[in-house]
Amino acid sequence: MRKVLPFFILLLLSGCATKTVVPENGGAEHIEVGDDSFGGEVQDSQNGIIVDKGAKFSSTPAGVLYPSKSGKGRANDNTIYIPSMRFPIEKAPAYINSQVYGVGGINGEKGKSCDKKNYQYPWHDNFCETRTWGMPMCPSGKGHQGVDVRPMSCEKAKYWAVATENGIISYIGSYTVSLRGDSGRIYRYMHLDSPSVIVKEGAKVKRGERIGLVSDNMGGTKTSIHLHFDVQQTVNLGNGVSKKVFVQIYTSMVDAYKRLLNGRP
Amino acid sequence: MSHKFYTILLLSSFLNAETLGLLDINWKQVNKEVVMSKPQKAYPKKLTDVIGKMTLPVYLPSNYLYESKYTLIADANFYTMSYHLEDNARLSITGDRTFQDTLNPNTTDGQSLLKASKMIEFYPAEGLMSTDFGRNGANYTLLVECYDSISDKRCTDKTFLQNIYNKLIIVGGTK
Ligand SMILES: [Zn+2]
Repeated sequence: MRKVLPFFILLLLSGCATKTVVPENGGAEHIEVGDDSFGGEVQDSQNGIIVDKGAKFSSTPAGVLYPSKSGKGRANDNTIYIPSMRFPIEKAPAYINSQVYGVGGINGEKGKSCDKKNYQYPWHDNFCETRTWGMPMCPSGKGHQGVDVRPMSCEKAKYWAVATENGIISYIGSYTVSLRGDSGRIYRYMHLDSPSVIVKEGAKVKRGERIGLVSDNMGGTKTSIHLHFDVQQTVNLGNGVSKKVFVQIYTSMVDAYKRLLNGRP
Repeated sequence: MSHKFYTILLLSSFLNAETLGLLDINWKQVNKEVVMSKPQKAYPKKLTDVIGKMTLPVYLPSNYLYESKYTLIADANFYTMSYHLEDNARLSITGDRTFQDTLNPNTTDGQSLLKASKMIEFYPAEGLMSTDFGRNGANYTLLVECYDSISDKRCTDKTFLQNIYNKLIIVGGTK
């Protein structure tokens, strides 16, 4: 039943909280999931930018953090919490791996963050990567809030972050953009190049619409070139108790990416 | 004094209550709090008229910097009010009455969330300082983002945000 509310400030809200579970074999054709092999060709372009073209996508399972010293993940949580989400970067390839424990990261192998090892499959979950703040959904009680995604090459302000579902831009800070989806979820995009952000607060956006360019902006300081992407939703525990949490997003990202690769983002 | 005040009005007029879960608000408790809520300076009527129609208690800082311009993004069950602080920071509060998932509180995750729902934590994450909390049935996020995330104490130390949190008041909302 639709309840008609006369207020002039209402936004059409739609969407439902459905869940699907990743089939054990991954499900999508021509894509290998859970396979550590890296079958692609690594090319260096004229200006030294690393481009990984034609590699077969693979990802290590959710909850398996790499390197293992980077923390303890939600093992065997194969639930795709947001099954219809669009991948937040417009174009593939893109790489989910640690910025902190990867090559050039503060706790990682010595080198540059542009190292080609950071621009290869397989993806590695970093949702529960060790941080200092509380994350109730992570086994240690602490963790990262979302996942870090490198765009296809180590060039800033070149690749578009896009809307993951229809919604409204609810907040724009100096390096953060928040999209409140019609489902009520809040999607946060961080480290965007501020001048490139082409949406305004209050703008209604469509799934796949461009938001801003992925960069290394962290408010007066720099991080590696990547998109920090996280999603908050509210979980109802009954009896008047609920909690807003950061959703385990890795499996939904794998699912969305496979659709992007298959031309059905 | 002229207020630099921007409200974004959203014009759709219906809500599909079956496909989106709404949390129950403890209005009895809210009404008690409203009596206690006294802003240092009254919010403009134009603003309170709008937020008075929302279906959740609208918490805003009582002591926000009045000179700052602010933006309200709202529908009946959700709002984000953000303030452009003049000294290079952005303060925002989001309130939400919707939920997207349910969980049995007796599961491992349910127990973790139950425990977390009783705690208030101010955490510096990704260069921002924020806290998530539930009150009277709805959920809120209070956050400050600094243009200089490394050296601006408001984003590295919880004191600034905690002071704002301690002085939140209900400015609107209706059953
Ligand atoms: Zn991150």
